Amino acid sequence: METTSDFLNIKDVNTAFKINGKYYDAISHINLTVHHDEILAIVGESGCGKSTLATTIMGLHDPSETKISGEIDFEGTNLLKLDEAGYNKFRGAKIGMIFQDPLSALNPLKRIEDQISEVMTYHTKLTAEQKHDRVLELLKEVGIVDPKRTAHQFPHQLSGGMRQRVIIAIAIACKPDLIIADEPTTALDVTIQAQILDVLRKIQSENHAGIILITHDLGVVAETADRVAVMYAGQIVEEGSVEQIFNTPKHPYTRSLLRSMPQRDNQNDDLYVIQGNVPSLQKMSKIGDRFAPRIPWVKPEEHEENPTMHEIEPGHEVRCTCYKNFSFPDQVGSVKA
Amino acid sequence: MSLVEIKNLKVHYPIRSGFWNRITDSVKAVDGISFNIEAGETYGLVGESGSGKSTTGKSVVGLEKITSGSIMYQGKDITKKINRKELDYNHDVQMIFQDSLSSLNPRKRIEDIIAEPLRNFEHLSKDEEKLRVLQLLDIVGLDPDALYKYPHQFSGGQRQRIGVARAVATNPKLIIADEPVSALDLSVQAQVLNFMKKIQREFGISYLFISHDLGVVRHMCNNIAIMNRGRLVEIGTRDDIYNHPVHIYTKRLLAAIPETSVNNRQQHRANRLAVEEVYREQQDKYYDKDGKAFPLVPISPTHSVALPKEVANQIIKQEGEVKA
Repeated sequence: METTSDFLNIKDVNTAFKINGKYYDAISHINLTVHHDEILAIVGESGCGKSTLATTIMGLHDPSETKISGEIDFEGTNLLKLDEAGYNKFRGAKIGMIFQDPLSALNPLKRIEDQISEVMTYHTKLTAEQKHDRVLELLKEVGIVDPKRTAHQFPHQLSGGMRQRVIIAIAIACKPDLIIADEPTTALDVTIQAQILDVLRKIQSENHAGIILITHDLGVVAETADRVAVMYAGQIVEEGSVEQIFNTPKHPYTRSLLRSMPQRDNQNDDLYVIQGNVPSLQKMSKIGDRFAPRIPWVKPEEHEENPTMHEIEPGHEVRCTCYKNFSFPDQVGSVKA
Repeated sequence: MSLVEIKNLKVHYPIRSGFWNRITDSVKAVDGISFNIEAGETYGLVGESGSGKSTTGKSVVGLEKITSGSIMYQGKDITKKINRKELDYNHDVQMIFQDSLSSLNPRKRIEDIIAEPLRNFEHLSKDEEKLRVLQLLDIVGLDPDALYKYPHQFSGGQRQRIGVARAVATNPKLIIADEPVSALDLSVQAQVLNFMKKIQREFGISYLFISHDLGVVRHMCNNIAIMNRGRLVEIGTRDDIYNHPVHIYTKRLLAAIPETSVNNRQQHRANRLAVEEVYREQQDKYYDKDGKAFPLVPISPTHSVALPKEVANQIIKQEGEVKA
């Protein structure tokens, strides 16, 4: 394996969906890198393109309905140039995916053991016995107390937290370098969520994998991630280390999100509400700052005509220049970015 | 007198099996809980999935048949049909559901959806009804042209606000809100929560706020009950629960909430693992031999915890010493 630490380079990726015969960009000009040994969180509201980015990396889009451009460089291979057979060598083996809804991601008619060993049948040459041992080992690794028993059960016999652990076991069965976790804990209780996040962190440090964690829960991000990319309307609007994003957020969208969260110190006030809605695909503007309609008090000249990412500190990038003088209408003058 | 007094409420579901399909056992979804909701306050009911919090909510509105116990509303037991009629209970108590899409009839226009409770309880003329619906839309911040649209034409947050408009249509005194924001994005959640607080200030509505999200509950509720396996393990004011939790289950839930303060995350995590450890080791101290929570005992005028009195005092004393 190469020694460079960034092994996934996403360069200028666009994904457009066909709606009524016309293509509309769901994500546009995405540039991201993922390093070994790190958890990169992608946050944003629903409709911002987080999951589209994940499915684009996994190559799960129907080519007749989508148009994808750009380059996804994974350990020296451009994934977007691969055909289906070529992609299958990566999916499951080098890239694992964890889905949001563990019940619909598991086959209800197959025992847990068969579902986990299926990946290994495709990607490795292990014997049946070796596979059996590996299944038990994997179940233990994701924190299942009685692996032998669970291996023989069907998905409906397991609780939500257990199912999600099985999904993680499948995703890491072939020791992938990259794990994409799409809202892995959204359907779970807080105590179970904390356990699942612990499992993810453990796997990341033991296998030196890179994890892309997609979530809308800022608390989860703050507790788990090393780096954060904030997405709005198909674009990355701010990227930085988890400390940079939470301690010195710059982009108006990041700051609005953080402010609309119920927190210890605002429990008696009204919460901040971002005006308007996330634009739908057809209504997304091609030019100008896409967040501008939701902060109407900011003068047009504060925005860039064609917003680009600006590096303000090493590793901390912000789209558009409107962050410089941005303040919320109820605290004009009191807080300056 | 409190607006609602729930006493020793039990909801058990029978399990049938065997040759004659006889009742062989029961699932004790709610197993003897008591609490009071004061007029004009928001009462939080918190628990993990399967703890029985929704069943409690449903039995308060009357959607669930209770096994035993009583629910007193303005001094009368509303589990008896005759009292419900007399008190106009179905008019005064409304519900907001979690899933706004499945709780709105897809084949009805918004006008008809919001007017439905009015048609049931208030005999208004066509014009009066329309005026009232328009007022309600205005309260929840939707345009008048929403009248003739269908539920699928709205976003999740807008739909949830339509659900709220329907719930407040009859000027209710109590609204049961069962996970009203858990399906919503952060900014939409903020909208709905602000709005619920606003109508509470204006109309003096009480809420029974059912949620698993402790962050939201801290924001909304004056008094909170923590539910676990069909029983209450701790009740108290917001300050009691968040700053002086006594029961291990409450501590465990609180420790699991992700915090946004990045700088203390190692410390927060260590704290959570420590609480988990205590939870594993000392479970038998906090639950009786059948795994049931003990009856609640008061440890301050506002704060009660499900522990034998001596144990509760001992724990409080120990923690006082650690702090000192």
